[in-house]
Amino acid sequence: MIVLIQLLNVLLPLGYVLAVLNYLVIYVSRPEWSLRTVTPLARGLVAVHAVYLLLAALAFEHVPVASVWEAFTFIAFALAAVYLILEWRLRDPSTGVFLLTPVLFFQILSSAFVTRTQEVDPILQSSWFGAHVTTALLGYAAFAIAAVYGTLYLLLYRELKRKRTGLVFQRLPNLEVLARLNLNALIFGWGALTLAMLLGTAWAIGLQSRGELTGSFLLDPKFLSTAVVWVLYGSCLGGRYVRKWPSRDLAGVSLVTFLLMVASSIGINLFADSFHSFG
Amino acid sequence: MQLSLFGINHTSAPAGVRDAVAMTAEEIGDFVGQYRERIDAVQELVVLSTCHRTELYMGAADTAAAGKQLRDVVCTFKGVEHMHNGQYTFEREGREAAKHLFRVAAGLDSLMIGEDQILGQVKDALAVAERCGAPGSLLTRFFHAAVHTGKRVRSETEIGRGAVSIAYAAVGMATKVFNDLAQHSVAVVGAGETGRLVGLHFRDQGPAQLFVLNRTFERARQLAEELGGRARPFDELAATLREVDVVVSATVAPEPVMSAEMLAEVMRERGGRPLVAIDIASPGDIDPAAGRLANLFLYDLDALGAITEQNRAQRAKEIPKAERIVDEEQRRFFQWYETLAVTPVVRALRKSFEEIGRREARKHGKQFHRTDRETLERYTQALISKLLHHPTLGLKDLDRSTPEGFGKLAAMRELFRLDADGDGPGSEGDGESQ
Repeated sequence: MIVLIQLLNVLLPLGYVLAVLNYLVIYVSRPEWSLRTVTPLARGLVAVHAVYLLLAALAFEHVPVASVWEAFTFIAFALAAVYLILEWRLRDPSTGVFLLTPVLFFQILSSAFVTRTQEVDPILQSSWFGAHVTTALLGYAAFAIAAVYGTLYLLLYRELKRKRTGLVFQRLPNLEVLARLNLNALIFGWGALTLAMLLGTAWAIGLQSRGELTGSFLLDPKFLSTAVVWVLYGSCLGGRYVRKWPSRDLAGVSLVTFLLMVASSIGINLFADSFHSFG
Repeated sequence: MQLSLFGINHTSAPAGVRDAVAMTAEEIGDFVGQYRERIDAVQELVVLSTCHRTELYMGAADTAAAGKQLRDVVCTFKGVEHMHNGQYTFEREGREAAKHLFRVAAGLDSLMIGEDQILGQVKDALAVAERCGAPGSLLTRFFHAAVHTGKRVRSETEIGRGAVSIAYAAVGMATKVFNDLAQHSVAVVGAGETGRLVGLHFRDQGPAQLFVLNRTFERARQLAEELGGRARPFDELAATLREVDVVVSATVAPEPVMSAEMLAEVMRERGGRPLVAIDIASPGDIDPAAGRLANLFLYDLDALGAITEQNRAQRAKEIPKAERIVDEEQRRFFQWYETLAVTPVVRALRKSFEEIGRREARKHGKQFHRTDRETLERYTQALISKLLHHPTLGLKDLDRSTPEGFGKLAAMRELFRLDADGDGPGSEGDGESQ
């Protein structure tokens, strides 16, 4: 099983390279062969990715999100799976190249640096951990999708204002669809993050009561930054539903919030001491 | 039986001459019904008549005689003289005739390269002819192959992409902002001919509501009736703009009827909801400065003209690709056509039976002793020869130049799936021919 996991660890980035190239060809010239093959191949690839995660979970006896590099392949999988659902709903593979490029990025990093071991902190073998981290990563994947569709909205908006009918005009779905995808991804992401925080809080309280966690998790930098992200995204949705923000503003704000979130995650992982860091 | 055509189209004749010979579906039925006996040299016939062309495709043993007969009866039927001497008309035979129809179906022979309507018209022409019993195996297959070519060209090239008329470009810009115009409302400002034309294109999108505003309310009411919308007094313009998602303005006012200030106020009150403003008036109805307002997408005649020009150039780039598909399909059609002679059909039938015989002998051979296998093979060959004896004699008596002979040859190929090796267009055409 280990050999198969290692083999898939090498094959997955290669598969995503081919998928990104195929989606790029579709974006640029839409040849018939590419339109016929791209979706079945991408679905096959995501199915293989699911098998890889399952095998890793079984072989190493923990949900495969125990390190940043394990989490990256999970994010890649979640992004690709959600994209395929959207593609199925839209019946149009034109935006695939924009969504699968971050997938490829996450998978390459994960495949390059992941080291898997059964000897993880026992805390990470808890089902609470699996549920907490999985929902949080699903939320982050949804925010990434919102950022991508927000960017595409702004790109098409600019082309329409400039009266240009180039590739962006021809290939992207209309503004209304892009706005809907942006908003739906934000709603899903915020919901998932809310659930992840509730699960994490409940879990931390339980651990504290048993004396397995010392100090206040409320002051943990990762908790604090996640709370800020949660508030920011919540404000986006509030702005949309209460203040009736136009789709263009929501697209811009969701993109900026995503960039802030990525920057703060990198900063905390590099510089802050958090109980969220596990050996 | 040979394939040929004679006709008149936008490259051979001016509009008045074309109109004089154009036929409606009913007229085509009458024409075939009334003149069938006088065009006995024409064994199969399909008439394709649109506002840009009237083309008569025929299957005939003697194409020269058939062409002459057909020309005479068309002149009599339509009461025109100018077609007798060949002025304004053109003729094609065999491969050239096939190529012509395939190019027509692909939209390559249209005034507006790549337009879609012609493909439906080619289909309709065959349907009308079938109702009159006018086409046989040759023209039915020929028209199906043409429709298949048209579909291939549209799916494998981008020849049909991008609007090439102002009205389509206007609808195209609106549908790049809104997903489904059935969920949005449209206002047409100005009830003149230009507003009407663009309004008709928007009406075809089935908008949730359509309003017409005009300084003369009665004219607004008349156009609203035609467009299936509601008329509104002109002084409700600002209120209407707050409500609708697309505004088409085509008044004859010498000054803009929508100032940037007015639209700024409207956009503020819309709360960021996008508004597509199509200004097809000359001079313009909408202050160009309004184009800078957030969420307002303003397209005037110049912008729409530039877009259509760009799309035309884009379509032109696709022509070589489309021509290659036409050539491919023409070759495939003639491969099929050429196999419909007696000798190739007899040969293909024999080959197909022998192949089945060999396959079955191989499959069951192991149940026989080695010495008996040769006997089994001889027996199989003898059985095939006996089975094919009478059909072969019958096929050799067929005359390919008659519709009956041609039809039977085509039926043999189809019934025994003699195209199954993929040489002929059979497998491709099946979808169309059902």
